[in-house]
Amino acid sequence: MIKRGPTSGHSAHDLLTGLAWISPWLVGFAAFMFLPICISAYLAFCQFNGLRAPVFTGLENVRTLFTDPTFWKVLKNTSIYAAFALPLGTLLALALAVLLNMRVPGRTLWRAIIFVPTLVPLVAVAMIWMWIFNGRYGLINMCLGAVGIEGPNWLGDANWTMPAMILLSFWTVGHAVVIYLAGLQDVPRALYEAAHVDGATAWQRLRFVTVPMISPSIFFNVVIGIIFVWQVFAVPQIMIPNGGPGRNAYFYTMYVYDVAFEHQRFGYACILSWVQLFIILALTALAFRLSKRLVFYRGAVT
Amino acid sequence: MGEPLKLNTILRTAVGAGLILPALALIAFGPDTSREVPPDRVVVTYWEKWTDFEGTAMRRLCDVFNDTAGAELGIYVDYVLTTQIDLKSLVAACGGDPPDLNGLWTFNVSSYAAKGALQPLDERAAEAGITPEVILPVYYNQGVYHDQLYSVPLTPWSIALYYNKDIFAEFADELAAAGYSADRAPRTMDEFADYCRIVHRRNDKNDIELHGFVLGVPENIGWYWYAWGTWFGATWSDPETGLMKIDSAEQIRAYEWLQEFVRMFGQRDMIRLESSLANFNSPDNPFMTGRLAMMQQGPWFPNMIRQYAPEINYGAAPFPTHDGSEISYCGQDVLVIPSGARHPDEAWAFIDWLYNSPPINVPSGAAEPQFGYEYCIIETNEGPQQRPMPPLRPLEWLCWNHYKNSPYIEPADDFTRTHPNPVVEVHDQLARSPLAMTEPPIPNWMELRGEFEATYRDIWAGRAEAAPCLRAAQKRIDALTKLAADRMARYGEEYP
Repeated sequence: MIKRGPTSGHSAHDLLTGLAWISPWLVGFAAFMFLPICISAYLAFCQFNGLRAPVFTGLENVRTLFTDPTFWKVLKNTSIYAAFALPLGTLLALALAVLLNMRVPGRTLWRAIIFVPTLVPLVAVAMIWMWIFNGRYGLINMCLGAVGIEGPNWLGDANWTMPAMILLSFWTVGHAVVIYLAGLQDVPRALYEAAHVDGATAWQRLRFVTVPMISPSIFFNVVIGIIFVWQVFAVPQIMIPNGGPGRNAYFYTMYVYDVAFEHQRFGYACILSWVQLFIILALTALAFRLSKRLVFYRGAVT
Repeated sequence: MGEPLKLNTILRTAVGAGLILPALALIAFGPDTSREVPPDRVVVTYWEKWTDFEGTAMRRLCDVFNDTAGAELGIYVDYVLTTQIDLKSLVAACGGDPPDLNGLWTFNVSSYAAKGALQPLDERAAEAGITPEVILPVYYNQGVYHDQLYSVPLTPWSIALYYNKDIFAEFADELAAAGYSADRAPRTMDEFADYCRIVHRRNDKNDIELHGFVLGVPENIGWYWYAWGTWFGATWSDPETGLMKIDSAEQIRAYEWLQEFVRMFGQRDMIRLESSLANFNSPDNPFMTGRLAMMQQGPWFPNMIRQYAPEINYGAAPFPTHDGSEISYCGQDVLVIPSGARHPDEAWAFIDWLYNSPPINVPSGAAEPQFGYEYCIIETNEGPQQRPMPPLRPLEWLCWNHYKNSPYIEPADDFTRTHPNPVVEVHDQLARSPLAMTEPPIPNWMELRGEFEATYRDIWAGRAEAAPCLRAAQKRIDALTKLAADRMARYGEEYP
């Protein structure tokens, strides 16, 4: 028999009160998150077209994954995209943040200019970039043409659709730049002064002072970035549905969307989504594991 | 005593107020989009995809119904503009709350019917006289799946070759030297290639300045890439099994021809040209700007020409075919009643009215003149004359206003005589062709078409030769077909 302490009744009352206060969120979470997640886990092992009762098919959807060439294609495409867009985007954002942290004329204006693109609706972004990438009249090719380089047909050439999408991903580095800027504001001046006294060059100050000090911000952006690049959807879906020539820009989430809503194979779409979740979880776990060696938390130093 | 207000604070407040106040004013005094439904009426929710002039016409027709037959029957049709209608209709059906009436495309019908998402309409249609004896076979049959009727035609179309007569005239001598006349369109694929070669022109920088024809990719100009095989006598399915087949000899020949055609003008140049072409429904459409001599389009196209480039001297003809026979590719927008619709009888009453109402004489005053509703142009001995629009049955009234042909075997006399589309007879003639083609009733057509599209893009871009590419795609299609057949078998149903 469990003996209750003198404060048990009080704690239970507190617990119930607390639960009552957060019950709107709990109900919402249960109805719109937890329940759909559970249903999705069940449907991943079913045939379901949305209109008729699901039919349990065991591991058939899993087996289909292994023989589905489009699954492997989108997996490869998304991996390539993630492998380039995430590190290059991180470097670019970091470089911009360091530059914007310097005492340059019109600094506030530059910061706004870098951040504003992230506020543009994705559909507008897609439409604008379709013209920027236009093979004949696009802005990029016009600039290349001005220096005597004949630009490629970005969205019409199978070799260039992926680079185009990676290039486009830099459009939204503004979010990361803002976070890095906040991190940079927090680096103690004394560390730079000490490094300066020790004769450190600008590169060494960046490498051995700035980067370690803002490594929590970098880590945060990388984790968020992993999730974003693996879920890339709206812009390529609008610009080159079906992935363009060779399906080289056909990404994972686009395929999940097509399988679910265009082909009404909700069961298969569920298993695809779970695989995507596990990939993101695995990469995030890897990032956390690496963070123990690479991320420096000032508060953790005693 | 408080501190004096700083200029910065005043400016910030002014900017804030300047942004917020107009928004509040818009909410308070902006346009009222709520609808007033007359009391004691059954509201039929009608989802439709049309915007622009097509949407305006259908809304107007709903208004006429609501003011006349609807008032007598106690029905009010509520037109709800729905983008991505096929997707949203399915989601609504899954959620158990579909509209009462739904405007879909023909290629949705078999897919929805196979899932049990549509109500069979055979009995209602027979009672209302909507039968194969009245409706052109190519359009009636598009609504049939597994011997049951699931949709009725709304506005039909057929694809024709539009050509710029002035460009042909400009190259009359060259055409004549090749044994052709500038007064007519090409009839066979060989002729077609010759016409394209003759009218092809480049500028000093060797950029293509004028070109004959571009099939292109779906998001730009090539809506009908998947129908290319039909001009070579191909079908999309095996006539015996009904299964999708894209590696038949005819299909391979069609796409090999296309690849050869593209290479004739330079693969890279053609892709660059295609990527520079604007959307077909815009003033920058290359046909409208005189950069493209020929285009593959439906009967709605003359309305766009009228709006954006009325000066163009154009004609329409059957699309060239491998042997000059009159093959045509037809489609339509259809009306369906979803399973689970709350007011199927009232929804059908509206369909019945569309088909069987006496001709309506819609008052012109409320119409929108820019869409041409107020009048029609009739050729007379004294030249073209402007006349009031004639009374027409509602369905034909709609087709007339959409610039489309009629689905009836026997259209009203006034329909063709007064039709605002000067080439509607070409489209009507194509719909009557014994070789009129349409998509096969395959339940997972869109899935298989997606596979076909990926293949087509590779062919168009010259990434692979057509024959092996189509054969490889056929294997993937066969695998997807088997999966689909297995899925249907679990419900005890037969594929396709």
